[in-house]
Amino acid sequence: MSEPMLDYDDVISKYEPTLGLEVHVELNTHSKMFCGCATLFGAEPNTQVCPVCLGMPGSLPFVNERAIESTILIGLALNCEIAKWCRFARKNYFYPDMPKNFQISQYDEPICFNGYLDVEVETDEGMRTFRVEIERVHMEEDTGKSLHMGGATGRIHGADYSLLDYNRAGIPLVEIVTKMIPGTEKYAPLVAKAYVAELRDILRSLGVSDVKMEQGSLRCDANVSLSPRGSGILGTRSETKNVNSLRSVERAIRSEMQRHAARLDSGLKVVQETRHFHEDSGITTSGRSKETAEDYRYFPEPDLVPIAPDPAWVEELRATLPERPSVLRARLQKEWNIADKEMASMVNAGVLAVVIETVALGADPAKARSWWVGEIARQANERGVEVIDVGITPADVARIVELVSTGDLTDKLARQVVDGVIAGEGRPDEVVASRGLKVVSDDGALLSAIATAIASDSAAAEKVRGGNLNAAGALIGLVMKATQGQADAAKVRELLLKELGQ
Amino acid sequence: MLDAALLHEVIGGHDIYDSTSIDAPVPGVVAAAKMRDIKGMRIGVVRELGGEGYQSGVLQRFNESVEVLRGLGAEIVEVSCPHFEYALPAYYLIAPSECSSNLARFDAMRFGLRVGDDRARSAEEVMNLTREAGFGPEVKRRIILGTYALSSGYYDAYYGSAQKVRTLIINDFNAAFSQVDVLISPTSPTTAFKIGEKADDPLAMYLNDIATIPVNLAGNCAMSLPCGLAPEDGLPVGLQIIAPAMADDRLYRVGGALEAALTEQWGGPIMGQVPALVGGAR
Repeated sequence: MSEPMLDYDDVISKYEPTLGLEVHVELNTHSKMFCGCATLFGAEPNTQVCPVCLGMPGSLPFVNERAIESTILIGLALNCEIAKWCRFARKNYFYPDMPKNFQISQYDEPICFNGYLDVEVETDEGMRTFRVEIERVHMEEDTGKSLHMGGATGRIHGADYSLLDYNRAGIPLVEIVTKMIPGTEKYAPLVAKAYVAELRDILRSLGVSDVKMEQGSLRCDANVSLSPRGSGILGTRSETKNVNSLRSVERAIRSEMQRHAARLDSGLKVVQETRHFHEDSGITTSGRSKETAEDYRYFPEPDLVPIAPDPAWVEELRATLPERPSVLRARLQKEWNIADKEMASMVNAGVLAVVIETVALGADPAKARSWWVGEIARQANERGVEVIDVGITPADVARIVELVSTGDLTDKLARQVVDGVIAGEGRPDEVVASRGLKVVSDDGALLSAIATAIASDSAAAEKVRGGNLNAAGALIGLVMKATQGQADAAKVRELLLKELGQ
Repeated sequence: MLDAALLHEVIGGHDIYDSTSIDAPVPGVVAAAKMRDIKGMRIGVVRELGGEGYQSGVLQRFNESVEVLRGLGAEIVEVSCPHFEYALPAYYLIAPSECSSNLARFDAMRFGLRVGDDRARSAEEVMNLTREAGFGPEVKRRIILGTYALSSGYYDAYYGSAQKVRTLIINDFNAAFSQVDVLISPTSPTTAFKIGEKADDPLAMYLNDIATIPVNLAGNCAMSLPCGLAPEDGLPVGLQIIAPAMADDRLYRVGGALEAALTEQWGGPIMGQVPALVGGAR
């Protein structure tokens, strides 16, 4: 069943790859593209629907202005031109999860076009910048979801019946299409991965999407073709659909390059078709063939008026663009004086934004980073949620860092405060109060605990008096136990030694 | 006329749930309907909407009405709209194209008729059977025509060209309205035909819309009012008044004055004098 693959080095010695990437992004607007329905993820099926997004006769669409704003922001961040005037178009095809049997999209008049994104890839010669040119950024509405029941594969083929959930129908989608990307050579899979990663970071920094690949709010279709080295003839492309992780983008492209090359080597043609990538096996299989390409009969959407963004508004939006994430990272790395590896660990844990916020609230960068990358990321991981959803805010972390620096909390106590906040016991000061976690700094209380410790282990006390300072450890341990860990061990040591004449 | 104006003021205006509605105040159509004064108004008779192909009784009553308007003090001017002759073919490409897409939602999935769902047939088969059973011949004709006109390879020749014609027609209207306040013409070339009489000849049926279609393509406002009964069959003849977009009050001003004059001339409302319905060819 699986097709032959050519060794990757051989692929590169004989062929040159050309890429094309289409990324679909679900915007995080509160309401849908053409109606007022909510867009919450994971709601009961068919509870976020209305006559418009169900395509009932007589209903009319009306445009979500916020979605247009988000799309323009994306276009500006990708160095695109913004259309002075453009229209929506209908893409006609019949499918049960498409309520109107046409999708309102954009066709030959996208709202943003002619942009680029520079991405950095580590090559044999060090970091190298590849420019990915953007053909267009356009708006459309998402379809509903089909759930095929009773079959073995979950595919429509062999299913007994299908269920339809229209909650997703009408959610604003932005499609970002690159021009053909030549010249990436053996780095093609890495360039694609870096592009999607950089795009994801930009979209997140713009605040326009949740960009969760695993939930499908960012989906990538990868087009790959090979041409014999030096021939200048563009090969037939395949399109691998809905690749849903960064690692899969890289693996899918590598796998397609190897499959194409094996076919070409044995004199076969590459079929222009849609492919599906399988995470488990790392290979693609054939989907629907595009030989009988569907005719979508695009025409301008007559129920909507053209969009003509005011140039002054576009300039206002341009002025609000945040710093490019890659530029921001380089700057922070310098300011915080941290290594590549440490920056990478924050980016990979998805905590950079919250660390920045925590530092902005006055926390030391190293401390802020260590909480988010360490304890908090670990707890988020255990619960299977994103760090931002685990229940502790940058303000909480900044306050905890502050309490430690003022000596009100030890690191050990601070960990308990973090636990308490995540458990929903309140803000840090409330957790400190309710759990009674404040450091015992009252000398009188400490001295009485020290006296009790000396009395209960007089042998150790004698040794300390005799100059064996190592023996103090046992006594300090007793004091810490008596104060339930809420004493500052250094302070206890200081008082104890003084008490024993040292 | 006054009833229409009163209703107009209630239902007119911008609808935030309809992006194609104009966000501007509704003209004072009730006051215009009550005005009964058209002295000094310039009224254009569209040369292309009359003459050959028009029933003689229709032309007779229309021309009489033109004289009534002149008698009321309006200045009558003949204007030419040379692209109106292409309005019908353009319309019968654009409207069916939109129909073919608008009616796609009738697919048996979420509402309405469902035919052939025996739990063995695919969704696509059920869609096909339902649409085959549910749509009548005229609807199917338009869906097929529209699907064809929008198809890749034919779009430019049909739908695309029709939209260009639409622009030419809009230009004709703009030129005409630079000379006159309103345009008038017969509403249709003939009096009403019998139900089903032209069912086998769709082109003849479409031709009956020849005078009203230019307005629909251009987005102007228009009204039709009875202007007499045709001598040969006793059926009412319609007179169409056309004004630029957002100048609906001009329609009511001319319509109100003409209705009052004709009611007096005919000794009462014209529609009170039409013959009783006797059943059609069906």
